[in-house]
This record gives sequence, C-alpha cells and structure tokens, in this order.
Amino acid sequence: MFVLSPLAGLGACVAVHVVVSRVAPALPRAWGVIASVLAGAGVVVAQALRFPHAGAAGPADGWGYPLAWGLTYLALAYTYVFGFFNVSETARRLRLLVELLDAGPRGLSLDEILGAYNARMIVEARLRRMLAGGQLARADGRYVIRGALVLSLAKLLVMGKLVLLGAPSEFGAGSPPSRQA
Amino acid sequence: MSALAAAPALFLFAFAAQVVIWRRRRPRAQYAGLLRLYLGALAVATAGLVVARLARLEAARGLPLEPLDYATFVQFYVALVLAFGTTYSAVQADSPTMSILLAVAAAGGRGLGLAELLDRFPDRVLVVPRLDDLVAGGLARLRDGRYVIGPRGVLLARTFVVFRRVLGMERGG
Repeated sequence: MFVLSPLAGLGACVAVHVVVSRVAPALPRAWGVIASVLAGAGVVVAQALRFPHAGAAGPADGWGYPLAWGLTYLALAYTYVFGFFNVSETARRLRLLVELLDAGPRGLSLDEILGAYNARMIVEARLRRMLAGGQLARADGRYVIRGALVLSLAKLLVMGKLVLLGAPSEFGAGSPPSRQA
Repeated sequence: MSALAAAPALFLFAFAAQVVIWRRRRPRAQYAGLLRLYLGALAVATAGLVVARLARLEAARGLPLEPLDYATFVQFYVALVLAFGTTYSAVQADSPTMSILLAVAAAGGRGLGLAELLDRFPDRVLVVPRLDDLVAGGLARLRDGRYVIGPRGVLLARTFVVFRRVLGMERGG
C-alpha cells in the first residue's frame, strides 16, 4: 500500500484545503494552498519514513521508491492547485461554461455573454490580482512591472509556445487544420 | 528502482513525439490529441515491458518489470502527464495575466494605462477565442447565433460549481 502514498497525500491536500477554506475564508488563498500542499507532503513523508523498515524492498531500493512517490505527489499537487483550483478561480472557458449553464437550453447570444463577462472584467480582475500579488505597481495611474518571478514564467511560456506552436502567441500560430486529433 | 528514470524517460519520448506532430499538424481537439498520444505511449511501453518480462531479456534488467516498480512507474508517468496537461493550457491559449505582464514589460519604465491595456486586449482577443474553444471541444454548440451548453459542458461546469461550493467560494473567472 506504500505505492498509494502519493494518492493518500493528494487526498490529505484536498481535505485540508477544503477545511482551511471553510474555517478561515478571510485567509489569503495562497496561504490555504501552501498549508494544504504541505499537509499532503507530510502524509507522503510519513509513509516514506516507514517504507525502508517494511522489508518490501532491498537496501539499494530503500529510498528510490519514496523519492519517486514524493515526486509523484508533487506532480499531483501541482495538478490540483494549477489544473483544478486555479482553473476554478481564473479560467475563462470555465466561467463562460457556467454562464451558459445558467442560461439553460436557450443559450446566450454573443452580446448577452459579453454583457455578463467581458474583456474589461477580465483585465481589471487580473490587474487587481497582480497589484495585490506584487507583480505590478501603479505609478501616476499607469501599471509598471514590480516583480520579476511571474514575468520570468511568462517568458518561459512564450518559449514553450515557440517550441510547440511555432509562434510566441496563439494568434500567431494559426488555427489547427481539422477537428480530428 | 528503475521507475524513477523510466517514467521521465517515457514522458520525454512522448513529448518529443508531440513536438514533431504539433509542429506538422496540430489537432483541433488538442486535449483529446494529448490524451491519445501520452496514453498511447504508456500502452506501447507496457506492451514492451510484458514482452521483455516473458522473454526474460537480459537487456531489460533495468526496466520496471516487478509489480511494485511497474505500479510506481505508471503512477509517476501519469502524474507527469497530468502536470504537463495543466501547464499546456497556458501554452495552447494565451493567459491574460501573462499577456498583460509581457505587454507592460515591453512598454518599459513608462508602463501602460488601463485604456491602453483594454485597447490591446478586447473581447475578440480574450473572450471570443475561448468560446470557439468550447465549440471546437464539443462542450457547447453554436445554434442560430446562440451558444448552447452541451452535455459534456454541463458535466464539467457542474463539477466545478460543486467544487467551489465545497470550498465555500464564489464564482471564479
């Protein structure tokens, strides 16, 4: 059962995140995320410390498995935080889907969608978050760069686009040629 | 403990295949394409491991053939694919946060005002392409000029609505 320790860690991470979010809603969300990821990591480390003494592997393998499980947990926690929680927090596609869900079978025209959710709302929400997070500062009513970390990530993503799409932006990459994968 | 090396190696192999395929012919349903490619690589690798185990190949001694090793390998590989899939969404579609940061950085010390940012990032850049994604991915359909959510879209949207409620949080976006 040691092999399932990354999944146990992920379960603990999600459970702690739910508890922290409900018990302390005023806590900055990043803190809740960090606390939950650390709680899940604690579960994996506790299992890893028991494993070498369980006799399931030879001495040479004693720490190789726990290392693999630790890395597996980190990848799963990353997926939960950025692929699930952060998506629920910021993803435009999901927000649009929820608007369409609320509209029911009649759906929404483009104008109706833009009345409920539009570029101004998206830009203003991101500016608020980046000001609060210290990535941007405001000087004389204009936005300027303050932190370098997220900007470096943005440049890294541009490199990823160049490798996979052959262009620095989705708009330079052209449309995919067909609906078939 | 070969899983520690085998899972990243298989992931890198599948990623190299993705780079080649994507540069030649990027699928329209990109996530379905990703899933097929990366799970297909795992299926081929598993078949190879079964053959190597049955044939008791000497050269396969370093591969994850034992049950604990194989389970660790599969779990690690799937976790890497999930993490990559998460990151890929920011590659496939321009993130507004990243785009705003890059635009402000490109403007230098003078920065950008709100009006300039809204001019650079209008609805046709931030909203319309994501609606197109929903239609292309089969999550919604465009009928008589109206966007209508499909069954898969309902499932996905409800999952996240319930998740936000469990966390006690308001609507995101």
